[in-house]
Amino acid sequence: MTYNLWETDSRNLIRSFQSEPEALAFVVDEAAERGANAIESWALMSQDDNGHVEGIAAGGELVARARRLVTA
Amino acid sequence: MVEHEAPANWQPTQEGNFYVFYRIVETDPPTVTDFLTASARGRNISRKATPQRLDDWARRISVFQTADRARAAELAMRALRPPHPIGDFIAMLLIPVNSQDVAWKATPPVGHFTLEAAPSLLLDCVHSVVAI
Repeated sequence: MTYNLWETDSRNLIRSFQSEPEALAFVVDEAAERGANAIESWALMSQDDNGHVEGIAAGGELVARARRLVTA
Repeated sequence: MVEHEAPANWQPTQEGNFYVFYRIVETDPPTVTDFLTASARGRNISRKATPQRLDDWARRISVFQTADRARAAELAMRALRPPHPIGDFIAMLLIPVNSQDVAWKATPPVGHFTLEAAPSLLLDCVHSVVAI
């Protein structure tokens, strides 16, 4: 399973991670550095070994999900 | 945080003298805007980004190995709550195998590649377009 961050305005992959916490930690870092508005166009998707893709969260919900990880 | 690399044996699909890639696009026919890098679209990147990521951000766009993978990505975007559609069409690109003007690179996850070329040149490589 991989966890993939997309920049949806340009439809380009930002980065692929091997765990969701790793991806969310990256989101938290970016939001802290550049502000939540800077990553409003990001979406986190999972992809299993068979190519099945599922959306996890995008935009403000992604930032909120990432921040919950930090405060948990 | 270590970035994982694509295995060296990840190769694009080849049909005759062309590599085949698929890009999610907004319109049929697509426009140059559909082939702009994140940087060219005005999207910023972290000051902590690695040189490789900065390079990708400024010079490369994402494409898929198959139309099915492109469609799966778009449908998953639409299934988000709220939906986050990124394009209504899939463009098939044919890149000459011996092209000196278009470079491809396999990058995780499986089935994802990046292309480096002038956006207008990538637009010229569009062979066909289908609706999602």
